[in-house]
Amino acid sequence: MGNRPTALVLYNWRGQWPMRRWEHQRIFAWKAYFPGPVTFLNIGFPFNPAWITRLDPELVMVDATALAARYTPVGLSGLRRAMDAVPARARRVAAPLDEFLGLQPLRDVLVEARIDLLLTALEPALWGGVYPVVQRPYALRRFLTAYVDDGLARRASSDLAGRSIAVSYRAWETPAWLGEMGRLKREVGLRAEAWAQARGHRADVAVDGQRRLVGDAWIRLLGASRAVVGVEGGSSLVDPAGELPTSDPASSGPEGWTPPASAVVLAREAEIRAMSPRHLEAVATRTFQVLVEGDYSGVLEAGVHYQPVRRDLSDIEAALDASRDPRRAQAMADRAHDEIVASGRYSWRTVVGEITDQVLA
Amino acid sequence: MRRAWGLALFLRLRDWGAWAVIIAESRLAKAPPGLKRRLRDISRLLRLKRWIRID
Repeated sequence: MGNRPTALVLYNWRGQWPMRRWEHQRIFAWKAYFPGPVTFLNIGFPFNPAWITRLDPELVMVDATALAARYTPVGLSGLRRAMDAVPARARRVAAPLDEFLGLQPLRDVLVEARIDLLLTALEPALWGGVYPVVQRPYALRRFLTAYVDDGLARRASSDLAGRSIAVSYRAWETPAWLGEMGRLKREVGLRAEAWAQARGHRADVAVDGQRRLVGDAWIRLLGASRAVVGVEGGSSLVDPAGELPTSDPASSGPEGWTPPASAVVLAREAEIRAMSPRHLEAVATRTFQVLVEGDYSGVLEAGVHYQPVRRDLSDIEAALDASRDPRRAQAMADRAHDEIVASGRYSWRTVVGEITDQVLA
Repeated sequence: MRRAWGLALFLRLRDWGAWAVIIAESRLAKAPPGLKRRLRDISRLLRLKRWIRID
């Protein structure tokens, strides 16, 4: 018992309840799968840095929400105080999810905080541009935006033929600063809804943040749907200086908005993209996925795990029609479940174990 | 290694308390404007205001 490593997870959460399931898992999976005691510290509330020093953890995990504290001077100051108090011997791991916002402050914080391992959802081809080698005293490791927890992996799913909803989708208010990627998030939902209406099928689609589902409600909707549409998460813009209006996305609708001069508009091949947690959740519920073609962090393969759609959505109706063929759709959903969820390859248990071995070896 | 069990227990209780505040905050955010105004009037203590972020 005395030899077990200890960990501290720093996170930053205020005002939102319930949490989305994958966000809760990302923070608290460490409790379930780290091989020793784990303490959680929400730096969104007042804290005494001496607590961190006294805890003397072997591993400090800085969650994406704690790194997002950099958006405000008060938050940044709290994050700095916390990291300054971490004992020198502790191994430090950071996992940002929003590298396209406030990139330079993020780079600075990672260096100041003496991070040992950075977990990033970026594809390796982009690492050099986002984290230049000369400014990078830490190691990098690819990390998905979410993994599968034991509860989700064990979840039983009904056959697609027996599900009452033909297609479902949710999108939050996509702010202009997401660029073309944000426009697609909205458009794909509207096109799916139009398809269902035209064919006389039942759809449960909401864009612009309406009828938001959190916790298990979202999983239940996926489990009741034959198909779900989607697109990779990410952004077509990078904001190195932190000047985008992240605090009020609703005020920056896509019409008539121009990015600040400091923002970099990315070419299509250089866009920041990653598989979203919802795509793993759909695999876990054995729901047929109709997705805009992409790499999906190297996890989902087009035509094998999901039905691909061209980026201009010109073939989305035909792709959704494929979900009406129960044998074919069920076979694809089952294959995705077997290879991605049942295999345990993308489970929290596996990744927490691997990260622990890597940094505490 | 020596483990600060008392501190770990304190931090766990603090975390639970913080979640109670977060749940209250989320309910407040959805409250009608009149109720929010009344609560703002009640929370005269600066420290309380800072903690539960009514204003």
